Amino acid sequence: MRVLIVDDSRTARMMLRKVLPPALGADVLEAAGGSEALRRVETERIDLMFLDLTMPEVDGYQVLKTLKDAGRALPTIVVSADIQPLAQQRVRDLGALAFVKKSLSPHDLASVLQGAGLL
Amino acid sequence: MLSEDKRDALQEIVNIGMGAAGAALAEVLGAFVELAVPRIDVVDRKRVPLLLDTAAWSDGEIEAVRQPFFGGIIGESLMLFDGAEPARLADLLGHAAAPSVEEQQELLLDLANVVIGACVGGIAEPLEEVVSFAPPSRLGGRPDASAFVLGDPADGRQALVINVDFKLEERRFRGRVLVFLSEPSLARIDHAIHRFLDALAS
Repeated sequence: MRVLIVDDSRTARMMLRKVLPPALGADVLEAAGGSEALRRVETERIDLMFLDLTMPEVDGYQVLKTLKDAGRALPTIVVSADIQPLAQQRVRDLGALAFVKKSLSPHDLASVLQGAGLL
Repeated sequence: MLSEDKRDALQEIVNIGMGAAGAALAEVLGAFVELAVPRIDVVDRKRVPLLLDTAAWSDGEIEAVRQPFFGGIIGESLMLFDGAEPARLADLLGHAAAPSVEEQQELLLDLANVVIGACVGGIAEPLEEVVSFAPPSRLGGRPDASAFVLGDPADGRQALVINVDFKLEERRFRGRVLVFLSEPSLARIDHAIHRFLDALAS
């Protein structure tokens, strides 16, 4: 499975890589911002995206909206420190499969992936 | 001091702390809080007064609250509010009448306490540092905070400055958190982040 991790923080991308379950068999790609993520989604095969919300320039909401407006259904799990209930509702309305709070444990992530039928 | 990797790690740690602060603020104020990406800078302490030049941030009335912290890391935090006039606060809180001066001060101190506690506490916890907070105190409008932020010249030539902005969606109410750490605490943070990144890489 080709997995794209989108976060402006290299540390956050490393933290997420570390908790990905081996059973996912992920071939991990990274994007350091929303624009790069949209370019990669446009030009490469991506099976699952982990998406941060708070990023400079193109943020996670804009990425989700762009994909939704284009009719592009890409399984996306939002991984964010912004845990406001309204943030969680908005990303679901924009098509995200799930919302998980930073920083997450391997167990938490496995549960979310199982709940989404991805593991 | 503070390599690019360590700066990135500290920025992410602050981001996580501020996420909790944003959720707490949203609950208190009943509004969606838009959080900006935190900025981390190591600056010459002589430049600190420039960072406190709030005229560049807002031309309106601002309110400032100071809250020092101490323990494993020692520093100063400032919470700036733009749009915290009594009528706006009444609107935010859903009150028909503007709050009294005492109520207004109490609210601003409480908000600052929540945001600064989440921000500084959010830095300290993953780095396994313990910090305690002095009570927040109101500085009024345009604060001349240089004196207490610059503090003792023995604290070194550099300062770590953390800057996080937030605003309420569809409301003219913004906030800025400024956290200043002196050079000895910067060195301590540097070591702590080193350990954090080592653990992450292992």
